[in-house]
Amino acid sequence: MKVLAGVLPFPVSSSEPRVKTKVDHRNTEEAALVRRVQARDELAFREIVERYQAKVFSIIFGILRNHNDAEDIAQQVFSKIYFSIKNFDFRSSLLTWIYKITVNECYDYLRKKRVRKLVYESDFSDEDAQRMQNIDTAIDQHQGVDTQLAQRDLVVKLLGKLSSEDRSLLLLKEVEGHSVEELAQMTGMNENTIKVKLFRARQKLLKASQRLKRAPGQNLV
Amino acid sequence: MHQTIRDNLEEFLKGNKVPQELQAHLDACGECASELSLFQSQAAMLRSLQSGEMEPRAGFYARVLDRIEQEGRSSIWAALLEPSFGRRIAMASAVLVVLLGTYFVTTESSEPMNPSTAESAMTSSLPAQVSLDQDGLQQQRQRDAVLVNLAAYHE
Repeated sequence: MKVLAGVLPFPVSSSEPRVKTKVDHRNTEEAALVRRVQARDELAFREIVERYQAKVFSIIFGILRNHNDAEDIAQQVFSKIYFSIKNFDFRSSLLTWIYKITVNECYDYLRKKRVRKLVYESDFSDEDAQRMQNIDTAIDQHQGVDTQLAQRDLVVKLLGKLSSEDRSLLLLKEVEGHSVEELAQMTGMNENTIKVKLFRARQKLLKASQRLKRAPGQNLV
Repeated sequence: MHQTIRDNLEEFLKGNKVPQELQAHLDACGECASELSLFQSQAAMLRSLQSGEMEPRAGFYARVLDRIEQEGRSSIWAALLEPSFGRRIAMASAVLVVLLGTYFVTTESSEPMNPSTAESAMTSSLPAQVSLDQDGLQQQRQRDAVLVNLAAYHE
């Protein structure tokens, strides 16, 4: 792992020539749907909501594991889509764009929740804060029993240290299971760029994990 | 991690079959093997975020429309607080100040301050005074004429 601490050279493209299928996101059926929404066609917007609602819910639930929060954030995601679709520039696929908005909304929600918790705790006396800390520790210990849950929490926390682009790319690759070629088509970047970005994101995630391990009071997997 | 392994990292993580020479390299190189193992456990952790397809409760679209309506109402006020709006206001104010400044400077410079301005103003008020005197004289003459007429009527 010593090598990871320094700057590593990035993967280069394979010597074998690869056929790259560049998708023009302006001339797809999806683009036509987006143009209709941009022209304020409510039926088209309804189609987008119905087409992507299940996907948006599963992304949110994957990160937060809470049904009530998922509903609230999903509403916020589609509201954001409605107001900002006029700025959609067709450089990536609609799914990639929606995916990024959804993941960002989840992390905004987590950030606000953390801030709220801090404000809430600051209103308590030292004694109350100590009591709450004990409860938190008990909850943490309970979670520690379930390794899967603890891992999930840790990975959500670590992903929060990455940029929005790195985070979305890693999730699209590992959680959604898209191949490098598919990611290249979805984002409009070439395969080698995707590989470089993925490698860089994986490195950052490892470094964040190592930093967290070194931080005092962190109980990591 | 050596370049050959790095170039094929995504293939390794996907669990695809890799060429024999790469496998041989991994068997021989402990550093590459341990780093690959770290990346593999990281990928497994990321996959723990997978969840099955989920459908929202019925009426989700109507709730989205409600949210859009609420957001639209609040966005009028939010627009006023938006930094870009503030920048536009500042820019417009700056342009206005420059235009007003230019206007005042040009109007003052086109009418330069003449030391004899006060005197000329005083002299220019003289004909007005004369015309006032003439009006008074005219009124006095009219009054006299009326009195003469009245006196002539009695006679």
